[in-house]
Amino acid sequence: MSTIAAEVNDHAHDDHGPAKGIKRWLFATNHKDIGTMYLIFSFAMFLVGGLMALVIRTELFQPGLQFVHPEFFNQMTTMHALIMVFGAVMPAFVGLANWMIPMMVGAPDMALPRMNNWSFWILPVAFGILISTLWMDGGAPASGWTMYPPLVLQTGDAFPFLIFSVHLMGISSIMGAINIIVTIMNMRAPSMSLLRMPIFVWTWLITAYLLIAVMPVLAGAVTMLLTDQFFGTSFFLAAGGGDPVMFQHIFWFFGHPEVYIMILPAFGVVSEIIPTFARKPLFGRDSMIYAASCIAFLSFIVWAHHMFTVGMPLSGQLFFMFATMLIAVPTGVKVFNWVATMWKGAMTFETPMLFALAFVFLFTIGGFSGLMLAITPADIQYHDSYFVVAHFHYVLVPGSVFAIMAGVYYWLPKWTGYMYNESLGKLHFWLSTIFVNLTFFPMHFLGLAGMPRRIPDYSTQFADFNMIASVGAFGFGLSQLILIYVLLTAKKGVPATDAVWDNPEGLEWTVPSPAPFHTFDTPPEVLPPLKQEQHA
Amino acid sequence: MSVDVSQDDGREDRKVGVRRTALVLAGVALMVYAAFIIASVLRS
Repeated sequence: MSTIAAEVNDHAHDDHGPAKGIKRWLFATNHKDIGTMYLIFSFAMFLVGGLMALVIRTELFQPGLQFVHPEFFNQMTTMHALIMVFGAVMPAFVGLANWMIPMMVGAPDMALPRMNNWSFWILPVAFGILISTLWMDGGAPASGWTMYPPLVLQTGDAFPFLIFSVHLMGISSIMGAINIIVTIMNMRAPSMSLLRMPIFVWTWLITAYLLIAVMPVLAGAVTMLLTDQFFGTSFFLAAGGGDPVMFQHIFWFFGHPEVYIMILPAFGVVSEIIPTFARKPLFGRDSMIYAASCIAFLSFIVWAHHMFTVGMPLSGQLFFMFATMLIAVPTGVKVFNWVATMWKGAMTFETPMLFALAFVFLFTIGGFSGLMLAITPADIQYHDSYFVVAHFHYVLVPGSVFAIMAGVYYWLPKWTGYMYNESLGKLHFWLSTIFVNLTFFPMHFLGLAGMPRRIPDYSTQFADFNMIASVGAFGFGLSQLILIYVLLTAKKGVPATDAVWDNPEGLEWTVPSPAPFHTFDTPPEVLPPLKQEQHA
Repeated sequence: MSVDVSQDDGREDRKVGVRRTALVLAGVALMVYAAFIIASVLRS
């Protein structure tokens, strides 16, 4: 009886389309709608965080204090980081996951659609609270996104709001991660074995496990900050017998896997795009999966490389140095596999491929500077310098952000049903690539010359490179106006075919363009053969 | 209220699987949260 009832309900489910007006978005349970909301939200946060970066670069255009107070400068660096990490990069990948994972595994939707709605709608609340702290007594948090005590405990009225918003972001991420794992493990089409899954799905599966393992650690750390501030505990207060360095250990036990949370889905996106435009199967497909798993495992045992200068036994320094260097091995496997995929391929250079290529090249630069920072004696020199700022921006901007842009250009015709403006896409790519390097490459030199990070003023010998970096930052910011225009006119191009590109691989290309509101209500029985099988 | 197995397309099983996996993962997240706080309490 219950089976019959379920079938009746399902027929009703098949018939209805999206709700009308604001209700469609407020009560959304459709993975495509929620994916769209995630992507729009993350882009809005990217612009807000970007404006904060421009405040920073305006102040640093010349030596001396000219535009903002040092206190406000520190608020800008802190808010820029929190917004970009938790508001822009992470939600963008969750948006891509929401849109693509159900279609890639042949599922009708995410496994827990109502929780999916919660995961999203918690985010605007969290960031509304965080951004509102700019207008509170004492201003916004200014201790850096790492929230180290005792400095963070000097935050004004914003402190409990910071803690609450971080908790909300964590809850949202954990719910999103649970949804993704449950969808992948339980909702795959019958013949979609784990090793057959697209690499983007694999990297997201690994990322979701990372999220569940480390977001509660961040929640625990900030809960203890809260009790230290308001409930008389001394977890991190030296005066009460606590240990401020313990916070750093706990934070980076979260913080380092967090870096991989922001890069593994990027690896997945690039691994989808390069084979399509090289017209070859992904080289070393299985090794890509094992490499991503290795990176995830190693991410748990390298955290103290962020803290070499706080002091630790020599054996600890050696362990964390070698463990960190070890990550270069699986990462190298990935980079070589991408290059080998392109080797002798019939390559074309549409916008997604350009962004993916820039990712491979520029992310590797960030990887190499990371390797330099892993060397303990060298890190003691580089620590808290602009070299570190250059390193992680290379990993995150032409790394994660470029991968997101590549993914958006790649899947946009499937979402809208129309081809975007390719010329403008290419213009957006070239300007972004030129300016991103103009912004961040000089920071290597600044760091090596000794300029510390998180300062609003600096010695005059750093003036030239800072001026170049500021010009680059404004150029990069203005280049994103092209992306806004491309997105606003995304439905004005020529209609896209179902496959969109030249024989791409995956179930998502078998559904019409634009993808209908409901896809794979009935799981696909026969999957298209993998390109590897076609070549064999 | 017995389920007619001949017409069952696996959706009921999948529902149980979804719930079970979600609860296990949520439990793991809560345990990690508690473990770190308990460890910090014991250490301080």
